[in-house]
Amino acid sequence: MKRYSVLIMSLVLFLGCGTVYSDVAAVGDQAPDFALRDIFKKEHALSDYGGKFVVLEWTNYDCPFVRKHYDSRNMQNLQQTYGDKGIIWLSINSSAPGKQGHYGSETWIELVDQEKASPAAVLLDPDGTVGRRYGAKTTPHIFVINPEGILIYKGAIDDKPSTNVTDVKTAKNYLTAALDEAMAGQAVSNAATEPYGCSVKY
Amino acid sequence: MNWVVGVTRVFLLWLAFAVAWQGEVSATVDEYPPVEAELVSEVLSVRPEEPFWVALHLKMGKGWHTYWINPGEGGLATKVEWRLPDGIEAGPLQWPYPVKFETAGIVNYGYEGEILLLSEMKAPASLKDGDSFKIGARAEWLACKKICIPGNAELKIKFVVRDLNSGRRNRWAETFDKIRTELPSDFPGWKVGANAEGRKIRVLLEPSVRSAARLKEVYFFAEDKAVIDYSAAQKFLKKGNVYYLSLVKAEAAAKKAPSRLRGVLVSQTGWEKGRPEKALKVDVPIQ
Repeated sequence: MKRYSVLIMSLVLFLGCGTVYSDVAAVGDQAPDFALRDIFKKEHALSDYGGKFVVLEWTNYDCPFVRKHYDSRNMQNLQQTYGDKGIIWLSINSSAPGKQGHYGSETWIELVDQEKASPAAVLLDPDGTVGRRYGAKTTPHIFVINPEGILIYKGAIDDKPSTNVTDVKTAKNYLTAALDEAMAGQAVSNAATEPYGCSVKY
Repeated sequence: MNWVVGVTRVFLLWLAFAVAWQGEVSATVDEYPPVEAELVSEVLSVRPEEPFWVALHLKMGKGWHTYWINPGEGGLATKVEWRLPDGIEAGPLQWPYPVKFETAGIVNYGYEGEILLLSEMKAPASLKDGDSFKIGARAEWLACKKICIPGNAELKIKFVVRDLNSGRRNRWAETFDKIRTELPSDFPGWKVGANAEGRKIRVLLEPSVRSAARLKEVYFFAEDKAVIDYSAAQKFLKKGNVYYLSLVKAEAAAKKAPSRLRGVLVSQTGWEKGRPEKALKVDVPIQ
């Protein structure tokens, strides 16, 4: 009997470890639900947007890689274009208090206005819970969730890891490729890529 | 009148001092620039047909780091674009093995303090005693501490041609010697293999000579992106005569499995008794 309980305990521990391991959202998994407040203090849950495509864009306006995509207006154009097509675009900032890219709501409102950014919402994740759950490593780091709530893309915004604004034009944009394929009912051919950028300032 | 001039002078002096002092303070606060870059040479002069080593020397401010050929999770590899005179050819950029930085679970590969990124130059036979030429480079890097600042520089170094046998090593030569021991090398006394199973990539290391060092701690730096999961633990164990290092495949490699494992294995106890090199060059098929 004792031997069995040891066996069961080890099995529980083993399975437990397995759960910890798979805790980070992977492509093909049900995207973990979350609830975060936006810069206007309004709460958004992922489950609010069931039935729609959702883009999660990890961001830090002070990171040179993010600057590349905002100074070139690439990111704003994507937010506008896909927003018009009914896609829910959520920018998320996981910078911890005191770290780069962390701002209070009022400053955020000004910054978003200055950038002329138009995501559906800018969500604040100062304790990094949602960032860690999704395995967000860099800014930018892009995630796409389909109307069934499945994570269908995770990775870089494009294939040119650099801070040069001029690279935006010649880069192959993985996000638009994934969204266009998925919205046309096709499988995403490049569903996981290696992200590039600044590290998320957890 | 004199009194007014005097006061004005004192005021102007004070103003100049205050401005200078403020400039000083903000420079300290921003620690800018975080990186100093220059081109350095191992030799004082060049001989026709004799290869010579040139390097990009990066000196990072305290706490700042720049990145290896594969920066890991985030970051950006330093880039060197040579501007060479006719007849001079640059060999591939040689990267000393990096160190691993881990901040809040995010893993990066790079360098702190000072580093040389080396290249071996080929000199043509047509060089004449007394000739001089310049080698230039555009260097681009990303330096990070708590924040990241991209930097770049147009650099130049001048060479003269002297057909001398000795007295050609300059003050950098010792640093070149030291850095060369940090470049990944081949150790024929070790058999290296790799195989994949599910999400795991297993590296096998088998010593075939008696002079092989005993391994205690080994870490693999992958040279290619989208091959291994950088933040997954690397498990090292010994079974009989063979060592195993277990890596986790990158999520981005889930669909299209990588066919080769390329990079650097660093052993804290080295690879061969009596040799200082810690970095073993890995370039093997994944079976």
